[in-house]
Amino acid sequence: MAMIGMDVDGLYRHGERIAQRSEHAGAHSHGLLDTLDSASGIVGHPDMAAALSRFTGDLTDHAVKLPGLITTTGHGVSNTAATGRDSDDEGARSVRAAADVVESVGLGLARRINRVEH
Amino acid sequence: MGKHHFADFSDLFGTSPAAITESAEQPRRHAHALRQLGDDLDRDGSLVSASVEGDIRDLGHAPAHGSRTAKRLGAHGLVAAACLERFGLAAQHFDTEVTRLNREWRTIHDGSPETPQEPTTGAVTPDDLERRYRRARHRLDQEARESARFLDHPDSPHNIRLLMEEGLIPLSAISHWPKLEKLIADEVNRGKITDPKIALSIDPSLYDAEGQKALAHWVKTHLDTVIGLLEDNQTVNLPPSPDGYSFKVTAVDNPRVKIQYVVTISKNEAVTSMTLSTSPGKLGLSGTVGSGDNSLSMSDGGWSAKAMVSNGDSKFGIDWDKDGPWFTSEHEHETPEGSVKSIVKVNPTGDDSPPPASDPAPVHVPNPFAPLDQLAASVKDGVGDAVGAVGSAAQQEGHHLVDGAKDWGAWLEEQGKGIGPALRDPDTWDVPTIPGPIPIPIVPFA
Repeated sequence: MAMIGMDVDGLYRHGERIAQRSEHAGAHSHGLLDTLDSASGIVGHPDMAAALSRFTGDLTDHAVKLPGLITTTGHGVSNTAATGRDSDDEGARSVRAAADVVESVGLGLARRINRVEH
Repeated sequence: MGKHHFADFSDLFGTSPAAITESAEQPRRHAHALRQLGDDLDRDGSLVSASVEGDIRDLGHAPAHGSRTAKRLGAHGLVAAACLERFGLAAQHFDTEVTRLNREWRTIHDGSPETPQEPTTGAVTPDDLERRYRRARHRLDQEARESARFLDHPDSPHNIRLLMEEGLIPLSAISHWPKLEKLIADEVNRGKITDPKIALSIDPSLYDAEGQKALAHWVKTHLDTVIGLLEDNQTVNLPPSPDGYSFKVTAVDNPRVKIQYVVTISKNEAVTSMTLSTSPGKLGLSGTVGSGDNSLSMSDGGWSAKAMVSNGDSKFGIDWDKDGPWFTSEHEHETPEGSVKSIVKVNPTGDDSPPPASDPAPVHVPNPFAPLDQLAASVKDGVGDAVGAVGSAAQQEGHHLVDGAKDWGAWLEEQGKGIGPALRDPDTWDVPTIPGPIPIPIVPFA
């Protein structure tokens, strides 16, 4: 576990896997709509046909949005991992810069002290 | 009109009942896949949660929105498929009645439906047949309106429960309708169990005392049915016992023993598992509670228990088997030759039979103590209290568990008589004698 509180690689993988589920989600959500639409043409009875059409219409919005929702979720998780990695790297660079300054000052101090001692 | 007098479904609506029933198959397949997708997304959320710490733990909730949507679509798809199947059946019934009416019409009119003559029987008249046809058509329209109403209210617990009771929606879908679960629990709580299979499929924690009592009574009198309902890897939660133990039973298909039932018993978060085996010609029972240094196990041949406390390099405790308790002291210390582990086992009951085997071989010390409490008091340097407490607790728990197991085993034996001679005699016991597959969901254990 990194200092930033996440298993970056694991989190990234989970996000990618979630995003990959969107294709499956799309196939079945659209499949559901299509087969119900077909059924409303097969069922024959006007009351049933009308109810099925209303039913399918009510589902459409959710069914159409589902794949995108899953993709967005998955990428959001992956991006969080990437952001975590970037922050970690950025933090490391800041610390390195500060360490360089300290090291440089330390070297300067050492030289002056040496001169005094000589 | 063609070759018959009364119009059948196809004449009226241009489609066949079979086509309607078949049209339910594809939506149902997609609905199941969407419900499975919801479960997969829930699992993803758990994995995400396990990958992060601190303030960003909420990230694990991210897939929940997609999961809810997928499950909702799936649940609605199941309702639609159920309505299609229901209406297909109604259409089939209509056609069956129409076929009968046309046959009677031909009989009355001497085989010539297009040229009616005087009736040949006094009992049934053409008017009777017309009346019956109008009634059949009225029923068909009613079914269409009812199915349409279900489609207009796909989240109605009453509608869904009806579809489940008609076997058109699998019981495993109950957990996707929390309101339905609550509704069924309320009915059980009021003593109105219309279908115990459904009642068994919901979270037992939703039941109040009366509901649990009612369900427990049903389970006890129908254990054979409960076990018969279970398919491989299916689980049911049984109602808790009056003293607070919870039970769940999982069927595990094992070719060697045909089917085993793993009974998990829990109380106050302590979980133990017991295996109910049907293979040795009787209801065999074995089980374990706890693990490692704090475990208790039981089997057909007896039982054993172990409870230890650690104190630096030393461990003290009690180790029981069917031959009686053994007080155990384990000590490990460094010598110039390396680490040396010594184990001393003492049987406080005066039984001089050899102690249980262990590695390295224990030093068997003749029992210097008689009663249990004397031994606990005699254990040296302040460790005695700890050992005594462990021994007492282990003894108490051991007795409780052994008594519980005996009660449970006796109860199962008693109920086993209801399972039939096949179960008591393994030679005649055959898997196909179990009732056909009825889906029972895996319900999260409360």
